[in-house]
Amino acid sequence: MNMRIYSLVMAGTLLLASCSKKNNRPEGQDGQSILISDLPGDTSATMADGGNNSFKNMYFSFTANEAVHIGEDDKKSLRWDLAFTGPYNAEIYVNSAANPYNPGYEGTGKGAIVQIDQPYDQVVTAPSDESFDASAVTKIGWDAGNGTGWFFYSLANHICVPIRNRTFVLRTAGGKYAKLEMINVYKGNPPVVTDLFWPAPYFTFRYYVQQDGSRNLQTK
Amino acid sequence: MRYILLFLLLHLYADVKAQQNDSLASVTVTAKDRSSFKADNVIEAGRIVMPLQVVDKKTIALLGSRRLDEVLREQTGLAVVSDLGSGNRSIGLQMQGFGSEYITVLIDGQPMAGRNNGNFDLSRISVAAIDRIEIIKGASSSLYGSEALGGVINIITRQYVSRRQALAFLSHGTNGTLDASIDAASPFGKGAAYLTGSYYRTDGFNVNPYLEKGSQTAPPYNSVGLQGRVNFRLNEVSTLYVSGRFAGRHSIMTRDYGARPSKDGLDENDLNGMISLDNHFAGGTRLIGRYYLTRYHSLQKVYLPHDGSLLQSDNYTEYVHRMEIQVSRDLWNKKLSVIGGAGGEHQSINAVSQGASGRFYNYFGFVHGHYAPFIKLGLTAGMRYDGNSLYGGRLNPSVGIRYMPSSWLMLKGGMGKGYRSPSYRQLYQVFTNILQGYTVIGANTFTEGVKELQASGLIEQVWPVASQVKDLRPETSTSFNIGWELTPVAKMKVDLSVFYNTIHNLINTQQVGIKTNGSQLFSYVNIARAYTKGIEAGIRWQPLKALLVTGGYQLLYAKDRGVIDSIRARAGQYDSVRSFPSPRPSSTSDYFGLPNRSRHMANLQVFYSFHRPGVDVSMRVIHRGKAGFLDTDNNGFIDPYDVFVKGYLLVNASLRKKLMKDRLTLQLTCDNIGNHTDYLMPAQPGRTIMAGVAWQFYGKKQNTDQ
Repeated sequence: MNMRIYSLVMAGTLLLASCSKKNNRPEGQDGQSILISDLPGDTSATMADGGNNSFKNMYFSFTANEAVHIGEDDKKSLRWDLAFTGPYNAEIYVNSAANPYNPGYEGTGKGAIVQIDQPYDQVVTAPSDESFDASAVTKIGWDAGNGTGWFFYSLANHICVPIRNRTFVLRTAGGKYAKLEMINVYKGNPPVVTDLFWPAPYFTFRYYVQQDGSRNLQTK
Repeated sequence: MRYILLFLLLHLYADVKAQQNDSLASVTVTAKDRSSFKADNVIEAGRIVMPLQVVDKKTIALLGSRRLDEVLREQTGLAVVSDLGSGNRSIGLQMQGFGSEYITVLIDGQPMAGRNNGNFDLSRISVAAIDRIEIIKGASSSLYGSEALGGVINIITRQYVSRRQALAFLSHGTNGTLDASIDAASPFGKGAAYLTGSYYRTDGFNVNPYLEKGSQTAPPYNSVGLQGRVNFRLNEVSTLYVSGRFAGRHSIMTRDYGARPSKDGLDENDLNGMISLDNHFAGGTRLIGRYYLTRYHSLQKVYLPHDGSLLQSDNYTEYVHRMEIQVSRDLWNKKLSVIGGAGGEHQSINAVSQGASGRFYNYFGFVHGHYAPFIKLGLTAGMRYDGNSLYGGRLNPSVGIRYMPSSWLMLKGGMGKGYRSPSYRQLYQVFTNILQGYTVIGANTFTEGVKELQASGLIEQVWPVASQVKDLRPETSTSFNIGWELTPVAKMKVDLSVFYNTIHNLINTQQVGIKTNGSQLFSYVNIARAYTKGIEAGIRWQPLKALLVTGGYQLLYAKDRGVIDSIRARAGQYDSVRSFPSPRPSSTSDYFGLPNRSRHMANLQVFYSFHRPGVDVSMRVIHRGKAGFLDTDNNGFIDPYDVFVKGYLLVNASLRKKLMKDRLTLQLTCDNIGNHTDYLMPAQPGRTIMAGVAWQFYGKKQNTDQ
């Protein structure tokens, strides 16, 4: 090849050699919180089959730190903390006896939720029991514009967008204090979804349960 | 008579050389030069008051591009962007901030069919039989009718056959891409003909790191194309043209994120045919009658291969039949030239799951005049009336001026209007998507539609916002453009223009309620108003015969006025931005603009020809600034805390060597040398190297009309 051309091409190559990059977002491991990645919900269900009711509930325990099987008889027990329900299992209940829509209704769960619009790390104290009891948040699901929930739904792109810097402080089924951040519903925890058929629901979330019963939720 | 004969001669064998006599020279003026002549259309480039850019065959060959999208993404102010909300295959052209749905795509001045939610995928068109591409920026309904709200891409197929010739081309490279074309042309008796056949295949590619091996973000496909034209001189006045194009594409794309892999299959066929009779009467009147037919069919399916269940499917067919008469005539010693035309078309669309079926008639008439009282001054004015059987009609004017105060300066200004009538689907259709369960009711039939659904017990709730649903008005646009063309030194041309486009009554889908099955109920409303404004600059410098440097830049502001008003009014969701660490009230300065638009775009191209070894090289750099991707905080607009596609720079190069008296051409191209990819741009390939060979055969030039 002609040297002049060769040098032209090479110059261009060098100029741009450092331009490609990957878009990976590390989710902070603070050493105290538990990070659950890609926990599958009912991935075989679709909206087409039976709409909202086609997804089977998925239960999660803060004691086992994993999904647990809960039969009809166990719903009122303290064996589970979170119930992932509704379309794409994306509506989350904390085990509570108080709410008729809660799978733990009339059971023994003391669960309650307070939503705080702050980054997870900056939420360091659980609010008072009065705040929990007064909270209108009965489940964590779609924020359709009312300011409560863990994801938005983009009408332009038909995808779920997890809400950043929003933390849920929980009183667990057993009465301990905890904080929860829902991070993603799409497999692989991508920062942005570029595909209408990106597999879901695969939940990525982190939480911290204060085992000593105090309200201290400092994790960093 | 001799005049006409010569004209036709020129027409068919347009290798006009300087040595030709005076009478021929005068004809040359009528026919314009070869580079802008259209065999069966009176709407020539000079008629257009909006900025026009022409990419010719020679440039396309130098770029080494094989599909139309590759050529256009290198042009100033043009971007090829994915519309992810409309599916994995939705991709379209953006021009001066207008999205693909506002850009008309024509072949020899006739509309091409087949869009996916407004997106026209230009990769379905091979460049093999393209003579040149006209890019018209801004509203052009006064020449091109309804739908030309934002701009026009006019693909001009080969217009001339001057001698017997044949060309065979083959290239192969990255991603298993193979491109082959064969092309033959010959004059015969009282006419001429050409035929081009092409085959293209690619394995597609993947730029998404979350996808498993064997998946693609850009689809693998193979495509065959056939295109040709015959012209036949019936008598001294009339010439008959028959042209046709067929293109087919078959594609299956795999998406595997490590669970539930899906396949996305597409089969499409595209047919265009035209018969035209071009008459040049004594006295200079030209009369063209044209009949055009196009049919586009696509079958698309997204499915899970393990159980065959369908996620999405569509079966789409569109037909257009169009008849048209065009007239042109020069008056007042050629100071005034007038064109006009009238016609009608029948259009039918059958879209099984998009819910866009319908059939209707369109009719139109136009008249345009170009008046040049002095050499230095040119005035253009025109108007066109378009109407259809569903909606009615509308008149769209345009005016333009060119003034050359001195030999090195030209001033240009123009105003154009654009319009699009609401579609059958938006007006009247009640459509329920079987897979997702939602229902869309046409706005003009909304009240009755809702009543019917309520009677059937399908509606849970109709929201108060439904009161906004009224009879739809057409979407309209107005474009203004003012520019300067400077020749500061010999062999350098600099142009600068300012553009301003407004769009009114944009039709948006609006959710108006909930159905008993939990799915949404939609209709359409005319609400959105947007504008795009900016500056376009270009330079063309040829310091040496062998060296050509061109560059372009576009500054763009593209915004939705409704968003600005809503932020000011502190309305609902628009009231805050999700800044770190906690949300704060929004202000209009947080608004970046419409998604997918870059504020800055630039390109620089260098072409050099080494005369002695017969080598041409080109090196091109393309920059696209950051563009909003997704509104992640649901406040209804792109703000600094949302997701952006990062700005980038692409470097492309090509090398071409001619051998054996220019009969054999060897070509090597390397696009995206820096291998820049981003999974937010699923259709932008990484480094692509292609090697090609072309063999060209020329017969003797024919100097007589048989």
